[in-house]
Amino acid sequence: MKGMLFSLHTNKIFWKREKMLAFFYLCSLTLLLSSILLYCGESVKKASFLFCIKGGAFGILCLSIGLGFFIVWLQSIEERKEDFFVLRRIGTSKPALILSVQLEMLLFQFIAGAMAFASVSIQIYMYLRRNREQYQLYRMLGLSNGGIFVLWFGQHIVNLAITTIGFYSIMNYIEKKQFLGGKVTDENTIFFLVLYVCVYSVLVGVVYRLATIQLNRKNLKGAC
Amino acid sequence: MIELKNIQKTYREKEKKYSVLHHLNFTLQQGEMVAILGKSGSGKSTLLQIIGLLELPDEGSYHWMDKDVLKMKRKWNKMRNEKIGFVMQDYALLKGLSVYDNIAAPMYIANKSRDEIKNRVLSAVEDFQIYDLLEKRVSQLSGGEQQRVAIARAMIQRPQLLLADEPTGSLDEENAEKVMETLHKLHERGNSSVIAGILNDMCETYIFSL
Repeated sequence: MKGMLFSLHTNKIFWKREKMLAFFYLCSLTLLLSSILLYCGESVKKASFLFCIKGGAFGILCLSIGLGFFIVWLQSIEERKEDFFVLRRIGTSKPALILSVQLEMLLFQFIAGAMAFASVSIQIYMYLRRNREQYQLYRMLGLSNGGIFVLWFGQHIVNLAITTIGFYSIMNYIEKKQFLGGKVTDENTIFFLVLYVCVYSVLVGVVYRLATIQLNRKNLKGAC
Repeated sequence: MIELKNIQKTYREKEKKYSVLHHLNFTLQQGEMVAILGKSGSGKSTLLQIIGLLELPDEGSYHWMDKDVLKMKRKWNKMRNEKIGFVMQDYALLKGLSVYDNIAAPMYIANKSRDEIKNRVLSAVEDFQIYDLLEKRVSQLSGGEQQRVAIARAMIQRPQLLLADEPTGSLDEENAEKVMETLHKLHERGNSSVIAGILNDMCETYIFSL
């Protein structure tokens, strides 16, 4: 794995990865956990905090977390400027630095993709399985979760939209055509989730590998 | 080895112009050690940065082994990585990383093998007597220790030229002497040429060791 030595996640030269990942996981897991809590009707009543701030307020809360993420990310980039300057001094080319940041973004995007997909899937699943009144709560949660990830990755909006449309289409197809038993069940939801994660992982893996090869080529050969 | 002719450098701030280097000529032979003395703002750092390929002169020529460096910009990164070691006054280390990773950084960038990196780093830390610091983060080190790490990093690729911009500027007398001794030893032992930019008021203390 000689070629990977320069990449960010092995050497942590370019990114305060540990700090950012900790924030990312913590907030994403909190949101996912709250999704699950809200899913179980009885648990909502018990989880008084979530019950009190349901609906629009919950959306605003999530959006605030998203904005917080965005600010932390910008701040981190600002702090890394000094390191970029040092790396330029010891012979790193500009294209290599830019590509490195893109690679790191790609990794985050991959994690965010899985998180976003899981969150959105829960919302849509709830829409199909429960009544519309209850759905309002989940819709707010879904939109706000989506908002957070869109804030994090501008380019992720396309991925998110495609996932949502894809999921709707498949669920409609299942119900209309009586495919896979004709109902939206836990099994076929999990089937779609697994399929999505597999395809997405392969795509990201290929792109990441190509980008790493490019990075190593550009490393010392890039123009100043 | 190095020849600079008629170098001119002017900095512009809003409408004002500051001429730092004015028709400067400079020659350095292989294995030579040179101290550039001058007051703050006299252009020592600018000259070192031009030699270290971190700045472009406004006018003049720069030849390295009879090759026109200013016409081969595509090779600058490789030269900065392999042929030139640069020690800064502010150490310019990657603060979030360990001493090992900092020293190894130029070799990571050059895609050297893990074994080669390990051997070189271990050899460097013994030379500079910083073996105990290997696993520590740079932010945990004292000024003198950080400067020794910076010199170890600058020397890890065994460059032909070592540039030191006020390497003792922010150190106390004891640590400053140690750093100057290290530079002196490096010069005596290897083939590297060394250029050190030193403030005028410090020259009495260090000119002897140079």
